[in-house]
Amino acid sequence: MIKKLLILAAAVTVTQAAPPQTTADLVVVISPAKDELAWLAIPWETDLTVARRKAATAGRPIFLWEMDGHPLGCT
Amino acid sequence: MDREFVFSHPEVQALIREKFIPLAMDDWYLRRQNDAYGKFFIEMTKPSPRGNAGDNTRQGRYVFTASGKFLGFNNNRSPERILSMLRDSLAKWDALPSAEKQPPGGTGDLSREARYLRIPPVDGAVVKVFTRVLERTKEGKFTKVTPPESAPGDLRHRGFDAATDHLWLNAADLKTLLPPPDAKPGTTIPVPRALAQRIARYHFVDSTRGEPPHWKRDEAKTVTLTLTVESAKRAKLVGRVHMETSDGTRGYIATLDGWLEHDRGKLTALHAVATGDHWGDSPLTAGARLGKSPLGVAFALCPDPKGADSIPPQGARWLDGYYDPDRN
Repeated sequence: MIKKLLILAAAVTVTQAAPPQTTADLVVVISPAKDELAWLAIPWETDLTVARRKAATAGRPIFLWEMDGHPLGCT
Repeated sequence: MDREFVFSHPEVQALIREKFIPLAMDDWYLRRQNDAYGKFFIEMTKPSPRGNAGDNTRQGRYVFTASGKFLGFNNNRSPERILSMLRDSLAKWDALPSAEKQPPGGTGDLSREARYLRIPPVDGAVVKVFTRVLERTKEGKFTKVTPPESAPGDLRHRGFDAATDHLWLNAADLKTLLPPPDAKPGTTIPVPRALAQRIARYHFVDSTRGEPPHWKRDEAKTVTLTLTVESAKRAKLVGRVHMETSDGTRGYIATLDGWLEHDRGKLTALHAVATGDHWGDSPLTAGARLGKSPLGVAFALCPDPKGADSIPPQGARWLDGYYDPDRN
């Protein structure tokens, strides 16, 4: 009986062994999580001419986020 | 970092969305542009604390009118301080005459030098590239790093989030990359050298703490990327790279695994991941973990690039050198 239980336990252990990480798994781990993309809730323009046109039409000032390296890309 | 500490803050987001036209741009291009586009920016910044920057960086956050009148500046990661700057700027805005707020003749276009224009490749592809520092579990799996506790008010860039870049493939790349539809399953095809070098030298970099140094030609010790045809429209993508500076203080040794799908000369899907050990940093990316540690780079085709997806690759400041790294 004990021998049977040990064989069964070993089988369960094998069954529960973690599967290897797939490319899809790793894409999820490496890509930004939802909370890391919260800053994209701001509708950023990327062209000064377009922003000026929209600002003049809407009657709003322009808020510029300016960095060495594009703020929406690699900074 | 700004994305986390400033622009994810609900109050900052609400105020910008409701009262401003938000704009994000790369200072590296703007301050070099000797055209109407660049001059407008330089003129606008003159009354700001960056007004005497000369050829140096003018990075920061500005508020200005459509006609170029400067209203406010901030370069701090404290949400409270940026909220204060935004409110002060709005008060100045409210006091302006209506003709300044809404120029009666419109604003017109600003001319731009072609050499500074970066437009996503026509008939090509934009691939999102995400980079993240990783940890290995006891089982050998890669996971996100659990950041150590930071002190309250500590707004330093620690580099545990995913960094974003874009890989651009032009029409010529796709023509040489995609296997012919009649290629037999099992056929292996090397990724064309220019593209393999572009991926390795400009995208297998640790961009998690700021602008990364790209690999020089002689730092690409091994770059082997190969497609294996699986069907008429699908191929497996594998590779290995060894990048290392001549003094050995910075390097990345990784393997790539993924696949792509194509149809009638168009790339229709691409998913690939590089994992391996990276070591070292640079003046603009200081603060790397000590020794060799896992770094992952994920590639995913962006099927309909718009907005932030159209930002050029960081390595494309010399565009010809980006597309043909052997020239660089």
